[in-house]
Amino acid sequence: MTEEALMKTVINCETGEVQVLPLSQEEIDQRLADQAAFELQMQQREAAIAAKEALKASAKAKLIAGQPLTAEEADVLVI
Amino acid sequence: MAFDLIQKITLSSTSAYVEFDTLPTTYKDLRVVISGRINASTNRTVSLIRLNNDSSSSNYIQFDWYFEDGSNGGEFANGTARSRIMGIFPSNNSTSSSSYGISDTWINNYKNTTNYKQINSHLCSYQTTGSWDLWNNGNVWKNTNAITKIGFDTDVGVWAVGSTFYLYGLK
Repeated sequence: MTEEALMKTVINCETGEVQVLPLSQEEIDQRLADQAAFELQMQQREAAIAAKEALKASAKAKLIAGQPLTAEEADVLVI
Repeated sequence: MAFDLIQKITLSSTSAYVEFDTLPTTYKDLRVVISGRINASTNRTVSLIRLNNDSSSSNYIQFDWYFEDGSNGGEFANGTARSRIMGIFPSNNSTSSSSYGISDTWINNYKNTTNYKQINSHLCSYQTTGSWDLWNNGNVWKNTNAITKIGFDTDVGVWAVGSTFYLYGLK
């Protein structure tokens, strides 16, 4: 599907009329920006989860080995 | 408490954006229910709300709590994000044609011209490959104008044929 084929559906709530119109170039550009912004948010979220899991694993390994934890490692273990 | 059905549309052709225009002024609150699916080549197909044709992310604040696939989730945005995102709908990339996600969105005091507008959405999306999403989402539209249009964008792909949008009003 090409971006040129993108359409929008507008319902007039007063009359019930339904119009199907092509997206404007501005709307197409906004879609691309929205897509990039969401991907960035999701990547940041997943990176934060991975970093927390890594800290947990490190803290667990140190506890088993009887080694001191860093403050960050202790934080992920304290509820 | 009873909601009146104001308009309902089931798409007979794909659409990247669906909008309820010329909203009635006879109600206090509005509610939009979407039974939807998005045609796209990716699983993460996001819907975004657009009020009065304002698609500038900087005019919205986003709060989300979400779960995805059981191993990923939590706080997604805590109010520092400027976004219109509501959550993820099923994509035909990973679900059967009979699988539709559902969202329920409330907007209170939509006609008031004093306060920013608050939006609360719940969204459930199950994809037949086994992936799923559950979103509890809040948005604030930083504008005091009365809302006259409510629309729903996709960031990739298009709303699939058969997707249904219901607009209700509460007096």
